[in-house]
Amino acid sequence: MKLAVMSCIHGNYEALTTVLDDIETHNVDQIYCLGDLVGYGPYPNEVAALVRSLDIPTTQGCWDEDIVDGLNACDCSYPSLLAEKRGKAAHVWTDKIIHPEIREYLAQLPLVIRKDDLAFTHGSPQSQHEYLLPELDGFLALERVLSTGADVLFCGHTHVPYVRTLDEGSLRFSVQTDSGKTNSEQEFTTSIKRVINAGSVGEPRHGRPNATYVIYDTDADQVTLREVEYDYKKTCAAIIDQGLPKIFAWRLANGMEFAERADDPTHLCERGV
Amino acid sequence: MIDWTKTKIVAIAGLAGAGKTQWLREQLKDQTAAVTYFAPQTTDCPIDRHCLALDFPQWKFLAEGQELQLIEALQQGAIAVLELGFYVAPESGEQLLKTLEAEGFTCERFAFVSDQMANSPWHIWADDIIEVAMPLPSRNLEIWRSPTRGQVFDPDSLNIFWEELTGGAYGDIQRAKGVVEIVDGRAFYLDYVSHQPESLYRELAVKPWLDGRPERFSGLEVVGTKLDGKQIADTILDCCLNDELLDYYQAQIRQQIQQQQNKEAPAY
Repeated sequence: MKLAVMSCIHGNYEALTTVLDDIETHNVDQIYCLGDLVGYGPYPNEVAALVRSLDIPTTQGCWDEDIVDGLNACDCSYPSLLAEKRGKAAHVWTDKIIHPEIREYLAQLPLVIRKDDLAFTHGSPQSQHEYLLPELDGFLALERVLSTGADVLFCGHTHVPYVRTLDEGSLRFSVQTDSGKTNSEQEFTTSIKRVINAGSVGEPRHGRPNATYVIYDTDADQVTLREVEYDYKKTCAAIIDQGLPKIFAWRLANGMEFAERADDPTHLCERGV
Repeated sequence: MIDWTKTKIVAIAGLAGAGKTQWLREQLKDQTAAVTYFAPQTTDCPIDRHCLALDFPQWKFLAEGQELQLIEALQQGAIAVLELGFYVAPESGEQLLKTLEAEGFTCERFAFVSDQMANSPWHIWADDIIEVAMPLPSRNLEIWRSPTRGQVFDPDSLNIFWEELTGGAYGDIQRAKGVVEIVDGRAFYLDYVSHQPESLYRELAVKPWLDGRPERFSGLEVVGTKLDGKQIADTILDCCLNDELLDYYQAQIRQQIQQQQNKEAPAY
């Protein structure tokens, strides 16, 4: 079975339609979306409506969640004052423009989708806001995969695609009680696990404006990272036309994220953990 | 090399980002005579002058309107440096130089130009031409400058802003430089020229300012074309801490320093 997995569209309708066209040429059986349909980009309603109309199984992204529940993430959402001001400006704009039925759609999106030995989530199975960076401590990465019960965990949120294989692991742990007594140690081994990050359709940060997503062949266990050119200038023009900060257009054209930027692999989001 | 037994006044002019101030540092770093630095048409954002004053605290710094003091200093045996910014026409300093030469003080004029530049007003003006491997400057260069005294940057925001500025987000930048304060109390000199691969960041030798808004000079100057001054100014403000945040972080840093000092103090 061939799957296409995409993430982090961020209201970039041009990028989404181009990626969907590209997926079409690869005879994919099923598309999954890992959320962040809205935020920063100029077409949040159109993007969410298109994903919904195509019945694409979709998890809730951090931006989707913020539009439903309001801004209440921990510090990991904003690595700087400037990013925070820009992020909040984009949130206010998106919150104002979003249609009620789209908000309802975003509200009912799940945190995790399971399908056989695969799991799909936006940030991590613990929180939409948590970054599973490629450098994250192996034990923690393994714990996140194990918590889903799957062998392969698809995520997004970092906007940089990667594949990380967690070799057969052995976990040993003991629990110490308040009385100081240590229970007997327990140990178990796990089969090979994998974390696959789908990158970003609408807000890449790899130095080029191109959209990225992944194709996964479940039979061959083969991952293909796709990088797709699209007419990003249209999106840039729309950003300015819609009154979003002009700098978003410049950053998009240069393959830089609009504002958020995760750098700290040791940080685990305080939300939902 | 300048023969200081003959030359009493060095006048320098030329392109932005050609390395005038750095050259001056090199020429005068071992100078034992008193040095007077004079900059005609100074602005409210004298970045070079501020940094030179930190590097050479014994120098005397004069500005337009203080010509008599300049003559007095020369009469007392000082060496004088006249730095003409790229935005100052070289002939505008000529009247003063001619007056000083008439008083018997020998002057040597240096112009910093691009090695691709065949002639220019600087070529006519200078005694010595220093050719620098740099592209020809754009026509219609604009300058945006602003003092930022009292403003304190969040370092991560400053990095983003500087990356955007030098990457062309606010216009085609040929040169950008500045003195900035950051939240841990330190001040930095930032310097970008479009023909150099990397920006320079240099910590300035100033006392960390950890008690309110720094009451000392800081500022930014940007040279280029199609500059979006409003966006630059707005972004700078978005990068800086408000009073509440500044108080909060400064209190934390003061506490950390205190704890460190307590740790290092010998136990009796």
